[in-house]
Amino acid sequence: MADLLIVDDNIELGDMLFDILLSEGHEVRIARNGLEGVTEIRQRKPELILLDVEMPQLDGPGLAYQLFLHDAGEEAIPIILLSGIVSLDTVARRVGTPYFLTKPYSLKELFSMMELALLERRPPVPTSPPGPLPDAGTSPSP
Amino acid sequence: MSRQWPSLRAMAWRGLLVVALAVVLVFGASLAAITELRRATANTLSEMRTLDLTSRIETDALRHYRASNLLVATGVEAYEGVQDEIADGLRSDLRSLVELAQTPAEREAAESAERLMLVYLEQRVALEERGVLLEELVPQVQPRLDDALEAVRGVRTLVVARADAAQARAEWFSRAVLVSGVAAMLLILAAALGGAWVLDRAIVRPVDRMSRAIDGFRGGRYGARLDTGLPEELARVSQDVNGLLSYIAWQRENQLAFLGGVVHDFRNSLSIMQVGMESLTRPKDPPSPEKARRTAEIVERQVRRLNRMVGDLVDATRVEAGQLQLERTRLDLRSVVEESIELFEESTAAHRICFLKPEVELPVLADAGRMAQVVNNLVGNAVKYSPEGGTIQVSLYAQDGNAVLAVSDQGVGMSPEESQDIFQPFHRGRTGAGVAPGTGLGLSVVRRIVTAHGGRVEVESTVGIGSTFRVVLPLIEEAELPSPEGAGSRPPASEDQPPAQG
Repeated sequence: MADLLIVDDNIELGDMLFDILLSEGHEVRIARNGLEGVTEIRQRKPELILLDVEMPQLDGPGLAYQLFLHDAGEEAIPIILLSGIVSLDTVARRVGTPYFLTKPYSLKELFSMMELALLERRPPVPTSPPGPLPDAGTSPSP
Repeated sequence: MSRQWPSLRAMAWRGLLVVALAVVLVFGASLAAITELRRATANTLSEMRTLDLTSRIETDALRHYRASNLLVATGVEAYEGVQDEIADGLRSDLRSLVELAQTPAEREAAESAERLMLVYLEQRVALEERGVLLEELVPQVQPRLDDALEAVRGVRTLVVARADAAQARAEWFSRAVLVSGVAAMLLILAAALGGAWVLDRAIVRPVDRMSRAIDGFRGGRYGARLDTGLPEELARVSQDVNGLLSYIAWQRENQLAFLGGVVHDFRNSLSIMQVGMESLTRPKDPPSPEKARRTAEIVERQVRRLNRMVGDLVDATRVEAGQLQLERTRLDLRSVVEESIELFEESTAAHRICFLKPEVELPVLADAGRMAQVVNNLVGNAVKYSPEGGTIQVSLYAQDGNAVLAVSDQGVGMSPEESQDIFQPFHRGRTGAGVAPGTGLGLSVVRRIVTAHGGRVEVESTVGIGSTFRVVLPLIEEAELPSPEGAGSRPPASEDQPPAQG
């Protein structure tokens, strides 16, 4: 179960998503625009941001840029862009996230994308017991 | 191409000037040559006469010499008259020679010939009268005669030299005519070639490029513009066409932006409906009846919103296509505004709508449904763009024979550039696009309806302070008179009953 932040200016949609994700067992916070989103993130870094694109005050890409500016891109929080705008793929490329869903989307799509995005945050688990690293210097050189 | 062309008119004048120059050159040279030729012909005649005279003088002098000698030698009486006759002819010929002289040198030569000849004749007569013998006489007169003949030959030499000079001048003139003719031909050829070159570079090719650019524009290169480095006349056309192209590109961008905006709003509503419906049917977490009812309400509201947007679109399309049909009747604007505001007061508790209802009736000849649409649209916009708790001021008053409806909000406002565009169909304000949903067609429909009623719409707006929209409609004339019946009065039946429509 993850720590999520919804940033959407559409009150009805945001509230519905909030209820659903809460019932899925996630920790959920909601922000009504980019500025509120930045404030929430400053308070506590979420594990995943569900981000709308067109919002008053500060829009989705603007929030992503602020995020990058504040930690200089060191700690990447995965972002899922959720919007009905026409060229969402272009915006996603500009924001630098591979995750985006064009509205209207089904919950199933949203959940599987969230799962995919959350994988980024998990530390890798080695398949074989950890041994000494192969020494690069011993390989024969021509 | 950055070449700077003069105007076509200027270039045409230049070409004409070159051709005129060539014509003047040829004409002038020919005129000079003809004049010279005529003078030369006249001179030739006098030269021939002079030459004829000199040879006659020489012959007559010799004839006189021989006849006189014969008379002196033989003493025959019969010869006496002949010798005097020849001498008289000689004198008159010498006089003519002097008169025919054309130049001072010729005249001098002729006079000296005359003088020498007279000297010879006088000496001869004097010697003969003294009865000098031939043997003595000849050595004395012959040198005189030789001098006179030499002088006559001198005159001939001068005349021949003059003829030679005239010949040379005639040659020169004929060459000048030839040269100027060739030069004129070259000038005209150059003008023709230059004209053809200019025609090609300044007109044919630019026009080709123009039509290619227009084709390119039609083919999707919306940045394509025509060159303006052309002769003035074509550059003007280019600039006009460029203006038109820019306008078309701008309109197209607006329509695309509008389409994107409409799609975005539709998707937002659809998204709410989708998530709402899914939340109702999830097996994992069935909602409480209360929550299900709320969700159903939300979904229903979205359906209504979608329907309203579709209605707007249809309306705008029909209005833009010019299919606006008005059923005009006598209306009191006060009641139209009142009804509209009641409607909004029910649905928006978050905004305060303040209406100053005027005392007197404001009658206009208008379509009731369309007028309600205008008022709803303006008040709806004001609500949409106002922050929660904001006041919307609606006022209605008469001014210069017009009814004025003003709707002011305390919303986001617009820059002057933006307020110019808002009445264009398919335009959405940049400031408002992210703030409020809607197709953005409302204001264009409002303007069409109001102009169809013979009125106009104005907007006054400041960013961050708010906007005021004003609808100005002509009042019905009779309203100038006080109307005791008030709002309940009915107009004459004739003017408000259009034929039934299907």
